[in-house]
Amino acid sequence: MGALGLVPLLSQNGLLASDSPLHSRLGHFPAKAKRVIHIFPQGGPSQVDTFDPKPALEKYHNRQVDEVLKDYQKAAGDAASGMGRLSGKLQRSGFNFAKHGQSGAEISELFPKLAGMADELCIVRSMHTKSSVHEPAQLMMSCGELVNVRPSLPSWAVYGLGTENENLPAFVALSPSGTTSSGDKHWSNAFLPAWTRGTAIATTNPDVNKLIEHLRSGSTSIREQRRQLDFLSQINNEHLGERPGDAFLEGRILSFETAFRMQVEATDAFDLTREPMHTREMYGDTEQGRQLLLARRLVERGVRFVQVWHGGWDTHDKNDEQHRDLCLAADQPLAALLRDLKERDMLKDTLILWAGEFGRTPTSDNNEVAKKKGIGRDHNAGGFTVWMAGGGAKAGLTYGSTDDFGALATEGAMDVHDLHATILHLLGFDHEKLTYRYAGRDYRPTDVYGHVNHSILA
Amino acid sequence: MKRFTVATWLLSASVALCAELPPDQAEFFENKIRPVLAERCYGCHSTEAGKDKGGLLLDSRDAVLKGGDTGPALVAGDAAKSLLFKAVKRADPETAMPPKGKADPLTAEQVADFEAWIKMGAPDPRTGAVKKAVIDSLLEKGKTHWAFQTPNKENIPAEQNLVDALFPGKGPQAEPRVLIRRAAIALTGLPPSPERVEAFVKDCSANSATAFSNLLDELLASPNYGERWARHWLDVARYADNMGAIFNGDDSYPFAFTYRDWVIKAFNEDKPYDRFVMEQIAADLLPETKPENNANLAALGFLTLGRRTDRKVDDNVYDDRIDVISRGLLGLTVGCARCHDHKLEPIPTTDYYALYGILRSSTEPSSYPVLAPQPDSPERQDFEQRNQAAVSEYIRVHAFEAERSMSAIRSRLGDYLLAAKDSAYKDIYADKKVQPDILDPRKLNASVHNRVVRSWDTWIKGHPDIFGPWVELAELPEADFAAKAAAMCAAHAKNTDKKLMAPVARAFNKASPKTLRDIADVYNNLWAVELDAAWGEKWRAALLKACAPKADDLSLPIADLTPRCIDRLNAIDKELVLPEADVEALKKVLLDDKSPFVFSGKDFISSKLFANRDVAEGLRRNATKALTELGSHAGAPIRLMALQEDKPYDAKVRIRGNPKTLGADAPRGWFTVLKTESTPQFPKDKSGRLEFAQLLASRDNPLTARVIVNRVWAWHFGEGIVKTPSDFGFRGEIPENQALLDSLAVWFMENGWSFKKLNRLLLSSRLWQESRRTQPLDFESFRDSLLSVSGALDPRSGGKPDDLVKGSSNRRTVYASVDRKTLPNLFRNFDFPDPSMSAPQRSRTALTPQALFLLNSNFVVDRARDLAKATQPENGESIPKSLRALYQRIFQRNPAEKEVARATAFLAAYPKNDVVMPEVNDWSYGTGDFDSQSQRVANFHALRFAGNKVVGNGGMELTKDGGQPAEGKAIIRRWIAPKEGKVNIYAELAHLPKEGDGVTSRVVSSRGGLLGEWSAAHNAVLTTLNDVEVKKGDTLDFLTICGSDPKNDTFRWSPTITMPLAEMPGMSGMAMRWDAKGDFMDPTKLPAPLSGWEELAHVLLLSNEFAVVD
Repeated sequence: MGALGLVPLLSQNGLLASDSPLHSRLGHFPAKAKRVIHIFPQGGPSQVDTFDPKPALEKYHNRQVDEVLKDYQKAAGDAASGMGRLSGKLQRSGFNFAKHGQSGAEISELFPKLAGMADELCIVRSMHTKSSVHEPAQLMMSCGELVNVRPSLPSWAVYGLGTENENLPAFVALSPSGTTSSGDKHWSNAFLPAWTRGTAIATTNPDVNKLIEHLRSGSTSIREQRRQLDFLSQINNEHLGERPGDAFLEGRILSFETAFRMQVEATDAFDLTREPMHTREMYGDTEQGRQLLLARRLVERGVRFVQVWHGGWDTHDKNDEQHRDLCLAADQPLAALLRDLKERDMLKDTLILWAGEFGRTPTSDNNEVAKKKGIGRDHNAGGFTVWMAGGGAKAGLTYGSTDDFGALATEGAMDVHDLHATILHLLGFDHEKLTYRYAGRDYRPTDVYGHVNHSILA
Repeated sequence: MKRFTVATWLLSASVALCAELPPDQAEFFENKIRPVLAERCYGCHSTEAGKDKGGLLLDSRDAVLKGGDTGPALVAGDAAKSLLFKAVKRADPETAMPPKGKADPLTAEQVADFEAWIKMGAPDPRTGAVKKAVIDSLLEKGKTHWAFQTPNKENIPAEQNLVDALFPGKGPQAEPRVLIRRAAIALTGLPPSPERVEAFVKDCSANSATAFSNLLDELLASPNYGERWARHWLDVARYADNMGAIFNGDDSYPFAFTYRDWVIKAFNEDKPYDRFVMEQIAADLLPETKPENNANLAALGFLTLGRRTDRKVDDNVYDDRIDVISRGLLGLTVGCARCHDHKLEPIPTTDYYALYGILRSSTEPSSYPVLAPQPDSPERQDFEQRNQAAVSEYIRVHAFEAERSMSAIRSRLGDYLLAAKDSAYKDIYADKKVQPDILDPRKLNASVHNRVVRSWDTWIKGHPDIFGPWVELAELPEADFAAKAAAMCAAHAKNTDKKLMAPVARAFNKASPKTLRDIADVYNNLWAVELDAAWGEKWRAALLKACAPKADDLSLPIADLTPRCIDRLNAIDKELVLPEADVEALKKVLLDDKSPFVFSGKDFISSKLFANRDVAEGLRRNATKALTELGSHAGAPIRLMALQEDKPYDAKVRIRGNPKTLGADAPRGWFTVLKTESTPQFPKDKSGRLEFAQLLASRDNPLTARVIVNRVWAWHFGEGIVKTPSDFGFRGEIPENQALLDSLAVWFMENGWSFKKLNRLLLSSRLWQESRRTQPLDFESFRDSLLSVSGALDPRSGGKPDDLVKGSSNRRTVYASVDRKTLPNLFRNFDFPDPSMSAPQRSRTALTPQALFLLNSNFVVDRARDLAKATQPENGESIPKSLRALYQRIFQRNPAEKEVARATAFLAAYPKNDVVMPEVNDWSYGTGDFDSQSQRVANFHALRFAGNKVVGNGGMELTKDGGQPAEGKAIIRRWIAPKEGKVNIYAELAHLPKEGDGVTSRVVSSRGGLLGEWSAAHNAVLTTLNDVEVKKGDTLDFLTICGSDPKNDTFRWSPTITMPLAEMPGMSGMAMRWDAKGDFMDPTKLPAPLSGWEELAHVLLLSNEFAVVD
């Protein structure tokens, strides 16, 4: 199904009832970031090959960790449960680093185009998390909890802020398959109201009309559907007239009108061919390029939160080769996204977050496949790099550090709750006051943890 | 223990100190310490503030010494060991105080003061006993909390409806037509048939009370009642068909449905609620549950089918069970007490671990018990046949392979002796380096080698009549071996002193020893010749016989079958008596219990002992696969997700939930706040689960009955008398009408805890029967109603769940598979609660994704088609008559006159030539010329679709994105205006190839002539036009021509045309849109649209009237 007979002329004129929970509103204080795009490099990118250069690795290349630093393993064990994974030998990065921009941010040769936007980045080298197993760590990053079912951070944001365009989902999760290896909890509302839940979109299917479930009818023309809805609204209004003031009935009447508009609005939003050629070329015609261009089209139309899942970063073998491919796929689209948002004057209030579930070890991974195929790196929960841009994050900052080898966060160590607290702060929330009563307790997105890191705010 | 002694000593020491506090110390405390404590600490740790975070109070000396969850805050005299000092010094970010990031740390000077103060013995004049902990006050408060008092029933005359007496309905009674739909949906989740409605209306005119009573009888007796009410309960029980948080491999609960079916059956049989609760907690411990009739074990699914992050039962599983019991059955929020005493409710952390202990004293059997008796069916017979064959084959393969393997190992007895000697009797697990050097080249098995090593001093040396020669010869120095061994062997062969067993002596007959290796061969032969060769045939015959599966093999899990095969082999080894007495004697030793050459079934579970591992693995895999596949056979035995008793376990409190920091004992027992004088002690020798279940289901329990009658009330009225149905604690809402709630609770217990009676009581009340606000149908009732009114409902009940998303099930929604890991959008969109947690109540929203599903999903459209097929006028029937049939099916009423008129008008306006995408027909494709003179297109010649392209001469083609021109003619995409208006055109023209000389494109209007002209070569240009006026029938042509050379002229150009539609009703702010790309379709291949009648049925199914109950 390709054609649509109708489009809304104006975006962002929703139809929901005046007491709709989705109406846009402020948090506890004015926000620096109105919307967020979280790019999730899934699997754990290697910090020492990308944003966290470690000359010591050069010096101690191919040496055993315990030989280099006897107490290292012990200290590591205390700092992060995942650090038992320093099984192999220290491995230098296969990539050269250089300083970029006026800020002099050190970025490896893997991100040449992104390096051109270095002065927009706020690189945090001192992240750590609680698990070195993918799925719990991914849930930690999305929902602030390893094991139990908790609302995702974007759901909290939508709960607090509503949406700026009720004709589109307030929170969209873009992943190639429409789900992840750890399920759909990353866009789950858990115990928050259902309207805060993310809409998952499988981006491998290029057909616009198949991106959102049931977006178009295969058996009724849009003009006939309009005729049906006119007929429906007559019936429903008569029914409502006998039951005046019933909020559910009113809301349901409006939901059909909104759905009708979403059919066209979403079709338009998701149709990348509406972008000029040069923009499409700027992002590149790759999965990640299409995802990020789509993300921009969505936030431009008022979507509050977009998750973009980019898989494959779990480089247990052939770390260098795989990182080269992965960064090649990510570099151009990421740089394009920053440039594009900046040109549209949207970067100032759009927070870009590039953050996976953890990083990788500075040592080689001693597994059998790696022995055959090439050296890899293992999971590292003890120290990893994320970066932010726009939306009130301090541009041109490289913050915090890991130890000499890039294994453990040291100076300015930040855990995931701290990151969440900081993001919520940028969205206008005191993370300790954003609460929801459930099962006898007031839950908050950061549980009982988290500190806003004011050092990384503009 | 030590810590306790020290603390006690300190306590007495400080009492002594206080009496005679030296003035300088008192001054130091008052000036340096007290102000800091008051200013920086009391906020979270004082009785005045009402806070004892971490269980710690700092507002009296004794409280400081008693400390909090992590122990005493001070060790007087030793600052380094004092937690208080470590905290203010911020030694560890976890325990740093005041908390990191929330408040500034103490100044260096203040920290030094604390150090000095502790060093001087922490003098502290603040007398006064340790103030009561917060939890104690909460427990005290609990004594008077309404929900923990025994409920009393108001004195109401028996003949009066209890609800009418305590919550009289005031409004007029609803119409019979409304009442029957309301009752049918409430009790069965399905609308009544039109015939039943008419009959009821008629009955009511005679005697409405009798008519309604009969109706209730009928609805409560319907099997649909259980299907409807089970689903309510399944929300509380967080029912799902998988574990939800296992990320590798299958995480399904293949037998979760047995619990769902048990719940349905329980409601249909009106199982008393006290029994209902008891069975869900302790069905396995009830005398009624018997091995041959164990269906009630399915009830334990309430505990066992929760969310899991690990396949084995871990602490999170117990936490889930504690939550579903406490919130689900008692309305208590106990989960918070996992890490600390509940801060707001009277639930000390010992209560949490008391229940934890009870649950941990039970275990899940290694395989769930088989339902007995199994329902009989043709599938079952087929399964049994196949299963018999598969089990036989499995046993045969495993027994034969094991026998071959054991025989191979035993035939190398001497080689193992030699290897053990060569490895200097080293256990390879102690010295892993032995393995590659000694074992690999000889292809010996490491674990057998180790067994031989470990049995060296006992079994080998303990049998000199067999191994004496080996021990002796092995100790010969290598240099002497050749010289001395031959004579020694000859002596052994003669065996004159009869020290050796006869077969051993015989074996030495053939020895011609040059090295110890040759002696190893003697022992190899001992087995191979004397035993294996001698009785191999008989042995195999016995084995074959043993291969026939026995009755109880057939229901064993695969994992248990392998060891069983091997154990049976070993039994045959022992049973079979060899005819020659001396060989039998040898066999007895070589296969005795201590022999390193006898392997138990367990030894074979991992395949390492199998001789030819690859071949054996292949065979075993096939045999296993056949069995595994049978697991999903429709007649495969049904299992029950049961529990069984384990060793009783009394837990200790885990401070902050951490299993490594243990606190007070928390013996198994009942909730402190609910304890009475008659609460029994929990047994030491049993789990206590039965006793716990009895307390839950007891009439003396003030919560159980209240909580369930409140839930039932909420399921009927939309909200409960207590508006927080899973929270009856301090933080829960208080009942709006406690007399009503309490009376209902007592009434319910007095009436045998019967749901059916309670439902009858509520539905018979004036309150329920009065006309009132509408209630939305929930997901299940809505979907089931769609199926029911369209005649598509598949009435099959029970059994394995259906996948509603991938499959095409038309069964009731209660039979849907519930995926906890990725709950389908369909469920979420219709407010199905997250099945990971017990759900107190449902919300009912009407958000956009629902509307999209209703408008566009095949499921709903198919229901419209079903309805149209059944009702649309045929053979000259009148439209009004057919409309009545349609309205009767959907709404169980006739349409009003104006509704008939409106529907008729809707049908009449149905466009006869409608297609699903009419825009497709507004385009045509062809070739032609641009006549520069007239500025118009000339010689337009239409081209046809060939597959997904339009193709012309000379390689010319159009695709949905663009096309390829040919020499001479322009390739043209033509749009014909279907109506008058102003249009905007947006497109980007791109010439893609790296070579070629580019293309030129024009937009030409039949009315306005040439509107624009653009060229592109290896680049892209925008080709937008605004406010182009068109009249109906005008054409806009999009022409493209090549440059001088048509090669390499592939281009992209797919315009969109929009026409604002401000004037059309319902379309304001909208525009009509044509999308060259999306509309590019062969018009002859358009999908068939819904007919007018189908569209009408569809609209009625979308109506609010259908989606709610009045």
